[in-house]
Amino acid sequence: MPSLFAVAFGPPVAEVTSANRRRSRRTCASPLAVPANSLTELLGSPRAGAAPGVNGEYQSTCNARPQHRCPSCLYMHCDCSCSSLGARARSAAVCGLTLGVPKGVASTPDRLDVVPSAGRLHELFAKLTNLGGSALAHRGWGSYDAAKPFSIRGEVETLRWQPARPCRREASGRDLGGSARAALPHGGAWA
Amino acid sequence: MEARGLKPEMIKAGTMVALEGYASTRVEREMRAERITVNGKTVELR
Repeated sequence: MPSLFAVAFGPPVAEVTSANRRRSRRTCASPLAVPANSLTELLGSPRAGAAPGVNGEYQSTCNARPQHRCPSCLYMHCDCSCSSLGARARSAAVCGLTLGVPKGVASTPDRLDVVPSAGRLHELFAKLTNLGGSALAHRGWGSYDAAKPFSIRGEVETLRWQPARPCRREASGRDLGGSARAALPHGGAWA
Repeated sequence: MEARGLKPEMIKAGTMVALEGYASTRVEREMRAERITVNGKTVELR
């Protein structure tokens, strides 16, 4: 059943998912598919003392201590001289990454968009939509970097839920009927 | 979403949820979530 809802989150905690666990020490590229600046805006500052993610996704592969969270990619990096993990020495060009936009990476009927509310960087604003194929044409799935998944965690602050609404097709004033059902994004309503 | 078991009352304000998905490459502060975990239950969104 198509539906849409929106959720705003409190300060989230960034996590890195299993797809990035095996990242090489040498490459030390960002595990997240978000430009550094926008990721900071999206997720806010990392929570102080945040525990590492499950299976240590947050940790660098270096055993040196102490480690600190990279301000760019939110990974935990060491301060030793292993050179590949020194977050302070890493430029935005490394952590900030160049986005690769996979084309046609998915063609799913459901989508959950998370957007921080305007002006409040620590808030996230999520929209969950469930749209039919043609309804996705305006944006498409290629606009999401499916190559680098990540996860966020936070409290729901506000919720907007738009239940599915039926629509009818019309052409030249003639009602074509039809059973298509699609939720309009952003709280839109069918005429 | 409701058909998959995710009800609006499950994600009321104050509920801790986790989302896993992908960042938008066009809209800076937007992501597409693949799954949501709330109260220990994970709901696939695709």
